Amino acid sequence: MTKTTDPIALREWIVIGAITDVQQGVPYRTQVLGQEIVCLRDGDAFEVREAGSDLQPQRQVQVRTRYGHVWICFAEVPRPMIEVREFDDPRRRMITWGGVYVRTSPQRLVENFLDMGHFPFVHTGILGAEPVTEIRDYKVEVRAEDAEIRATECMFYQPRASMAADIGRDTSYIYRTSGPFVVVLYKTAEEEGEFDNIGMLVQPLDEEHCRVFGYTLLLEADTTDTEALHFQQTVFLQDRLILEQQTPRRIPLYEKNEIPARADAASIGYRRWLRAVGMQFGVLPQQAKEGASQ
Amino acid sequence: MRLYDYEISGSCYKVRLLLSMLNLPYEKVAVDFYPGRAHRRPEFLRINPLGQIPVLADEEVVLRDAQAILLYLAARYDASATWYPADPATQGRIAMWLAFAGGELMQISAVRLHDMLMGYEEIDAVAARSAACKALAVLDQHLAECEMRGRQWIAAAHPTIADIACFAYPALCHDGGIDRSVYHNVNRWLRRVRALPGFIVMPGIPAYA
Repeated sequence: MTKTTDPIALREWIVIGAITDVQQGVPYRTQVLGQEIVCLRDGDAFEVREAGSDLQPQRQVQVRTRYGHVWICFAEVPRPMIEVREFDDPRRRMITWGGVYVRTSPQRLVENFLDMGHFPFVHTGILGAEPVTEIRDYKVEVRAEDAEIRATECMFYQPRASMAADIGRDTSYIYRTSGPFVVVLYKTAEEEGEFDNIGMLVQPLDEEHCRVFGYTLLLEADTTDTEALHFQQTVFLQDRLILEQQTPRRIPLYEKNEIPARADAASIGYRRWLRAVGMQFGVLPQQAKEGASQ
Repeated sequence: MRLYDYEISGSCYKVRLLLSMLNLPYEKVAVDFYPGRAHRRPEFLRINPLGQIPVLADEEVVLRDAQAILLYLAARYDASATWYPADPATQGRIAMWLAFAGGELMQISAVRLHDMLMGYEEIDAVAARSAACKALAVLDQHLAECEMRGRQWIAAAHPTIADIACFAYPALCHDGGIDRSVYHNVNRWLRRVRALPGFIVMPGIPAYA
């Protein structure tokens, strides 16, 4: 694939790796929105260029480091990045998950992240357990001004909500999607009155292939980083298997063949936003109406 | 008993699976294989100079290699003596299929790492995928011949450590983008292993398959 022409995708800040993934003096090659790029690091300075078919560096693109990751944007005027205040909280430590490749579109990944309904079936014994499969009503707000969809007052019974949890409990969730490729969530922490913050940052390689980065901002003092990391990787690789079996890989925004339920309110909001901005990248093209050609 | 373990590793899973089926208590030591590559650090290389997981430490016995660990656990702790029976012909067959599990079937592991994680770009995924399919075809043919002789398991009339060793990677092949739907005998045998008492899951090997 060549670089997408979708302006909605091009104006996004997109993660290309954890800061630690990019080694000093070693060209870091990857693909974003169908475009090959190369990133060079000199100390804390990063330079990213598009690479031609001969892999020679060409046009320079914007790059910045934030939230432990390296982000790029192809457009001259990027849409502002999501603000996550918890990164300023000195009590929290960040764990990066390590990039994972998934054969699907970025939107399928975001939808899966927003979906509580699959917890008991895919993350059995961890984030959910039968027979407690009911999704209680929650609120969804689509904020067009900052391209954010917020799902609040989400509640779900979880047998083992985190590495530090030793008993099942109701867990409260807040989801924030920011644009098409980033979603963060807040969930009840083991510490009274506190929330853990977890983010999924999708790097769309092309419309049907992604690399996913993620972070956990942890308060838990009695969990080692490796234990917390393996908890997240376990959950994410359970999702990966499901995601790679979903067809079509691109998200069907205009079809009637995927029937949403009330529990899918967050993903309905996300799909509504994708339609409203006219997103094309990663979206199944709108089929001509039956009989229209006659 | 301590297992140096990584949740996502199919090789570690082989050991966890037998420990569960034998109902043996053990302690897990989580190794930051990815992205930390802790198995390549000096502290871990002192435990296993090959820089591989799993490693099992049971009192003074420290073993690397999933197949070696399975052999040790069965020989030492299986009171029923069925997972590694004393019969020489069965032992020979088990050794043959343990080598296959640690050899040819590891091509599936290579493809899986390549397709899933960063830092495995140097693996020739096309060659590995082709070799993985050849290995699956060999296993499929063997299981077909077993079934014709009325045998449901790889090396004996009952499950042995050969079945445990050979189960993990064929079960995980979707992670590496390998379609195993054509290997009917393998698929039927995978379901038989899943039905054994003490069976456990891992990411990529779900309960609902």
